[in-house]
Amino acid sequence: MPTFDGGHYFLTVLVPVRTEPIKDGTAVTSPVHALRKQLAMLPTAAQTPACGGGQSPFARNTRNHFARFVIIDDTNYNGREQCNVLWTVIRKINPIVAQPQDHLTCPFLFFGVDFDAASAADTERDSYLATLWDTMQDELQRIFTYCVGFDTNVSDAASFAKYIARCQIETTMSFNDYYVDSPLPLLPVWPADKNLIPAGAGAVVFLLGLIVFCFMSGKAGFIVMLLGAAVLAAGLWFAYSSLLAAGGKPFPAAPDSNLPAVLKALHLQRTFTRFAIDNQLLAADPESAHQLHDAFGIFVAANEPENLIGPTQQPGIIGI
Amino acid sequence: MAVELDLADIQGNILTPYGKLGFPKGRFILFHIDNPDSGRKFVTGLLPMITTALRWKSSTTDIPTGKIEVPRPDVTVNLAFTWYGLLALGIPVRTLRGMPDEFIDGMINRAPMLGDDFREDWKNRWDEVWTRSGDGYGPNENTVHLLVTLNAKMNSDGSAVAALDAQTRDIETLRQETGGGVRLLTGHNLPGHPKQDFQELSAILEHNSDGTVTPLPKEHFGFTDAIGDPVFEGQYPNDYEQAVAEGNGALDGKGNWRPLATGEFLLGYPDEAQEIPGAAMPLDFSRNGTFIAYRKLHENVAAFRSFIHETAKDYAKVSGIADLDDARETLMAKMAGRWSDGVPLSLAKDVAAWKQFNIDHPGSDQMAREAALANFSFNDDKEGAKCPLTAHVRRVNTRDMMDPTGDDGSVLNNRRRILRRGLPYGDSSNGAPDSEEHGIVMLVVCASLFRQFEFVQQQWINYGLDSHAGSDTCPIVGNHSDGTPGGKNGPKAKFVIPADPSSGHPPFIVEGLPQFVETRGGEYFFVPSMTALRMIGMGVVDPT
Repeated sequence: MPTFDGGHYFLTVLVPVRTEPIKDGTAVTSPVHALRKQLAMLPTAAQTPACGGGQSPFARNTRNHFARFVIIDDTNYNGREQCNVLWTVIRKINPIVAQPQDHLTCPFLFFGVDFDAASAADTERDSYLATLWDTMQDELQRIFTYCVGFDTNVSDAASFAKYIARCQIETTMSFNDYYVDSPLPLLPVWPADKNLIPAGAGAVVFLLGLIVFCFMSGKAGFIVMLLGAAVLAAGLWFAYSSLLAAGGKPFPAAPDSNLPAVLKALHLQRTFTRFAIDNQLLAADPESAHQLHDAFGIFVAANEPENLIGPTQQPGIIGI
Repeated sequence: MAVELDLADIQGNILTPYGKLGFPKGRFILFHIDNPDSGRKFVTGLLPMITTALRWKSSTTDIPTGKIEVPRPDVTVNLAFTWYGLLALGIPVRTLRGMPDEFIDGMINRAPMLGDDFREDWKNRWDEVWTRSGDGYGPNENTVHLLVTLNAKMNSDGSAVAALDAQTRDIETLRQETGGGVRLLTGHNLPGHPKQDFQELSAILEHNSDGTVTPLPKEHFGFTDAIGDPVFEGQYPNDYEQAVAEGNGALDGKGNWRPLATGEFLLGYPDEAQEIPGAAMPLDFSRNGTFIAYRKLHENVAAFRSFIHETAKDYAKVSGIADLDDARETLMAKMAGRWSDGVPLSLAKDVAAWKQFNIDHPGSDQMAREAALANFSFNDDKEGAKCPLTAHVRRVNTRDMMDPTGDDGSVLNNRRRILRRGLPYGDSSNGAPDSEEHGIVMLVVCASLFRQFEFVQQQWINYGLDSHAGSDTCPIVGNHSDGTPGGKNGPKAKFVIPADPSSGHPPFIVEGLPQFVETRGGEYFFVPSMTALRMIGMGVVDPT
C-alpha cells in the first residue's frame, strides 16, 4: 500500500481551485493567479544562505520530510491519436476534423507530503494535518482560500483534516530514500510454489477429467473436468489475490528513519567530525589513550547520542 | 566502420596537446570586433595561417602520422570565438540561438555555479581583460570576441623561437589591413598592474649545467601534469588509438578499454549517448567544431608549500610515517591522487611502492612509462585506502568508481570527460610570493561545456556527494571556504585521508585548507572547423 510505506505516510491531495475572478488588492484577477503568487512568496527552506534566509513553515513540526505544492492547470494534450493510414481510408476518418480533447473543469492544487507515521490509519493522517494546522494555520489559510469550499468549510484543525481527507487520492508510487543497506531480506515474500498449488491441483484434476472424458466415461469425465475447472479458477483467484496482498504490505520502516532520528544523525555526524579533528593527534599517540577516552566521554555527555530530543539539529537547515 | 576524421577540416589544438608535444611556449591574444566587415576580413586573412589536425612526424614520440604527413610548423595558430564575437561577425540569429545556453551566458555569468566566486570581491581579482565588459549580461566595447592561440617551439636557451614574434607581427599587420574594425584587447593583468598585451605562456623550465634549458611537464605546485587525456574514436590511427585508449578511454565492466565516442569532443558525431546531439544550424557550421573553456588559474604556490610543510608534521604522527620528507610527499600524493612524478596512488599506495614502481617503469622508455601511468582503475579501492575518494584525479576522472552495478565500468564517467590543453605561465621559483603572476592557463575542450566541463567543475570538484564526502571540495583546485561565520560557503574547507584499516592508524582530517588555486579570468569559446571559419569569413553562414 504505497500511501503508507517504510514508516512514512505519502499523502497525495488534489484540491479544486476556484474559477470566478477575485479581487487581489485593487486588481481583479483569477484565483489561480493569486494562488501562484502566494506559493511564490512561501519561503522554501533555509538550507543555505543562498535560499534567501526565510524558513519554510513546514520546518515548524518534526514529522515532515518533503512537502510540495504544484498547480495543475489542465490535462496535457499529446496531439492527435494516430492510426494506420489504410484504416483511416477504410473507416473514412477525416484527419482534418479535430478529435475530442480532454480538459479539466478547473485548475487543481496538488499537495504532496511525505511525513512520519506509525501506520496507514486515517487517525495518523488527521493528527498530522492537525499539527500542520496548529503550526502554520496562517500560511494554509492564505493558500487554500483560493480553493473550492475552503472558506465555508474550514474553521479549525478538525475541519481542515476533513477537508483535506475529502480531496485525498491514493498514492500509487512512493519514494523512500532511507535504506542504507539492501532491504531485500525485508521484502514481503510470496512463495510461488505454495500459492500456486491450488491452481496446479485444479489443472491436474481438469486434465484427468479430460482423459476420462475422452477414453473412459463421458459423463464422469465431464463432472471431473467441471470440478477441475472450478478448482483451477478458484486457485488462480487465490494466487492473484495473495500476490496483491503481498505487494500491498508496507515496507518496514528503515532503521532510524523518522525525522528526529535523521536530524540527530546529522547533528552527531557534524559534532563527531569536529571531535575527530580536534582529537586526532591524541589518537595517534598510545600514551594519550586515557586523554582520548576522557575527551570522548565529554563528547558523549554533551551530545547524548541516544537522546533524540536532546542536542540536535533544527529541521529545515543544513549544517550550522 | 570506424570514424574517419577529416583532419584537414579540424583545428589542430582539439586533437593535440601542443604544449606537451614540442611547443612549450605560448601566446594567447584577444580581439574585439567593432565592424563585422573588418571582422570577416580578419578571419579570412587568418585562415591560411591556421594549424589543422593533419599530423607531422613527432621528434619525441612514435605517434603515427597516418596517410598524410605535413611539415612541422614552428608556431601553431588557432582561432576561437565567444558568442558575442559570433554576433559581432553578423552570424544569423537562427544560428546564434542554436548555440548552447552556457556558451551564450559566458563564463563570468556562470561563476557562482562554477564556484569561481572565491570571496566577495572576486571580480576585482580577475584580469582586467575579462571583466571590462561590464557587470553581467550585455556586451560593450571591451567584450572579448576572438581568441587567437599561438604555441611555439623553444630555443635551447629557453626563449620562444623567433617565429612566435614574427607570427604575432603578421597577425597585427593583418589586423591593421582590415581598416580598424578589429581591436586588440589588452589587460592580461590584475587591476592596477602594468598592462599586458598578451597572455604569455611557458612550460616550467629546468636549467641544465651546460647552460641549456629543458621544458618540464610540471605545473607550479610541482606535480607532473597532463598525463592522462581522453582518447576518442578517430583521434589516432587505429592500432595506436586502441593502445592509448588503455587507461584513457572508456572501461567496460570486464576491464577492457575502448576509445570514447567522437561526439563527446567534436560536434556532428554520435556521442556516448549513441546519438548526434543537436547543434547550431547549418550542420556544416557546427560539424568538426567544438567548445573550449579558457581558464586562467592562479596558483598560490607559497601558500601551498607552507601548508604542506606544516600539515605534514601532524600527518606523519597520525599515519605513522617516520620520515618527514616521505610524509610531505605522501600528503601531496593523497591530495592529488598521484605522486609528484605522476605515479598513480592506485598503483603505488606508499613511498616504498612508489620507489618500486619507478624501478619497474624507468623514464628511459617514455612511451611504456606513460602507458603504465594511465592504466589503472578505482574499483578495487572503494574505501579510498590507497587513493582517497576525494583526491583530485579521482574527482575529475572517476573512471569506474561509480559503476552502478559492478558490471558497467566507467558508464557514469563517459559523458563527463574533458580534453585538457594549455600551458603554465609566470615564474614561481626561488620562493616567489603569491602576489606575483604564476599559474596555468587551462583550455578545457569538450562538445558540451554544460554536460562535461561545468558538471565536473560543479559536482565533482566543488561538491563531494559522489565521493561520499558531503560538501568537501577538491583539496587542490576546489573552492576552499575560509569558514567566515555567516559566509555563503559554510565551515572551513577540510579533506579526509582514509587509512587502510589493517595499518592500525586512524584516518587523518585536514581542516582549514587555504585557497590554493584562484580563477583569474576566462571565457567560453566556440572552436569552428575550417569550413565554418571559411563561411564566417565569407559571411555565408546560412541556417535555412
